[in-house]
Amino acid sequence: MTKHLLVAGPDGSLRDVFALASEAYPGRKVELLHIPSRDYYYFDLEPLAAYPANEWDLCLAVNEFYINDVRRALHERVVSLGYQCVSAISPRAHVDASVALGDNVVIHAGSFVGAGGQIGDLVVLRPNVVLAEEVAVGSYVTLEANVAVREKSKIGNFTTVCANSSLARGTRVGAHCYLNLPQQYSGDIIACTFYSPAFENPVRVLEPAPA
Amino acid sequence: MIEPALPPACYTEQKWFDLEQERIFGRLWLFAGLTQQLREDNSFVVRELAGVPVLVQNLGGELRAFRNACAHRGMPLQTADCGSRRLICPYHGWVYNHDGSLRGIPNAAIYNICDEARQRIRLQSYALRTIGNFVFVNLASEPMPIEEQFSEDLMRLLEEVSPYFDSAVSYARFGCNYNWKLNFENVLDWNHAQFVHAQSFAPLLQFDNGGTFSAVESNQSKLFIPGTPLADIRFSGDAPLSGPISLRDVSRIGRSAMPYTPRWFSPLLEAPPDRGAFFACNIFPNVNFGSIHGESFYLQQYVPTAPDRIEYHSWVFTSRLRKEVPAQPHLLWGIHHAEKRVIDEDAVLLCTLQKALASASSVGLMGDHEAPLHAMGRWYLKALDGAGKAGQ
Repeated sequence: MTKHLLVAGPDGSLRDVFALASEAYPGRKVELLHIPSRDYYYFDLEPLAAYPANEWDLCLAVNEFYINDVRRALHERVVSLGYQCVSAISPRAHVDASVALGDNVVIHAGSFVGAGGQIGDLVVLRPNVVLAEEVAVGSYVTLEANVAVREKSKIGNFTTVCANSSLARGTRVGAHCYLNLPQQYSGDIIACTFYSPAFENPVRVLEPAPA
Repeated sequence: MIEPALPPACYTEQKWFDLEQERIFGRLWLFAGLTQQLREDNSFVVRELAGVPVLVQNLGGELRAFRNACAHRGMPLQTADCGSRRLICPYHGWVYNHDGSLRGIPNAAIYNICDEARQRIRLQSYALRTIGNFVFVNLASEPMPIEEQFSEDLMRLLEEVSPYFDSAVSYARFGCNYNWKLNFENVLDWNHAQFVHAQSFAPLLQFDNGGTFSAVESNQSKLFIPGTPLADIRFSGDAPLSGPISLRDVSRIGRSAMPYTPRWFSPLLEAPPDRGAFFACNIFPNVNFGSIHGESFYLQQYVPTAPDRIEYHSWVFTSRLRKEVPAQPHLLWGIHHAEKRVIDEDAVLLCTLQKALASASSVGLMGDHEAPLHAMGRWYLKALDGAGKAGQ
């Protein structure tokens, strides 16, 4: 028997992903659950007790400003409770049949993922993201609305690219990057680099984090 | 009340700037980097100090400082701000030994350099000292003992707090349009925090009606309470209002109680050394280092590049993370954003002040609590010696 699907998370992205999951799984019982978090790092999972892991799969929805560590922290907690995380892919997205998708990937309407792509776990593609051919995206990556990633680019784990950005062909972005300026990025961007409107030069964490 | 020691011209005029570069920045020990960045063999940082390109590199486990210029054509040996790379010139491949002597020249025959001349070829080296994780370089040919510049208490503090630093450091640099002394005076002037940082830093502190800090002392410190390594440290007291001042006393260290509320990342930290307090080291000429609760640390350096311009270097890091905690770059960036907000609040005002000083005939007046600023001014004028000529 197919398990029910629970869309769970701590914030306002919940409703969006719930609507998407309802569209993606029309024959499945889909519910939404708010998971309280006082500090966005530690979560109160008590409400999950009403949704046993043998009856419910989970789709995690987290809206976060910084790199996706909030999602990682929540994911680790629910996996340890025996839940399986599933993807929510809009029927109005184009995902080529040759694309390899990880777990709990969220792909919103209008997105295009070309042939030969590889997408890791817990990746979010907001509306109208375009991934050209042979793009590799790591785990816990968020590509905001209207991001275009050209052919043969690679994006490391725990990276966020802000809305209306594009990555030139062959661009390589390291892990834990946050590209928060809407512009074209190219070349090699070292892991733990942070482009922010608050700083005229990129901020860097000088000890590279493990990918 | 005190009459200011410094004339407006020393903040705005090129002649004063040139003298400062020679007689202050060319003679004093200058902060060059953190050892967290220099742990691995061949790791390096490149800095521009007093207009001089300086390379600090870990060579065989020892930190060394050189002019970042190949002995051949002066090409910088390292072209990135920091990284890990052998001591080899990118232009023609000249390679150097750890002591800066020449190791080898590719295609050596075409240069026609005799053995005797070759033996004399070496990189220009500078004196280097580390205090805890803080690396200082002196550009003078005969550097003063660092103990003449920094008090024993300041050096003990830097030594004792360093083992608590996490290895990951967030670093950024940016420009600001004001004189470096305005920044040093600003960090000495604790009274501005309530007005300039009313929504950012000041709410972390607790003030009484008279504007002084009034939080209750915590007994959680691993550094400053009885039975801990810095229990006997002497924090900077009131500065004398007149008379000569020692260079060691121009830098200042202070600490005050700060109400402690755990933050979301507090449980991720292994052993924060000073919960319930805020300490700051204003290290002359151009470094400001401090801690909030011993959980997060800020390090600021404002390098003068023109009379009305500094290159601001900013580092933030936390105390050591617990071993099982994964890397937290997002945490460092969050702290760095908060830090930049405070810096920007100062920068907006100091930039305006800089413009106003260009047409000022005097700087105004100072309160008794601003005696440390006055003391710095007196030492500065003495160091420039004959500075009156610069103002003519």
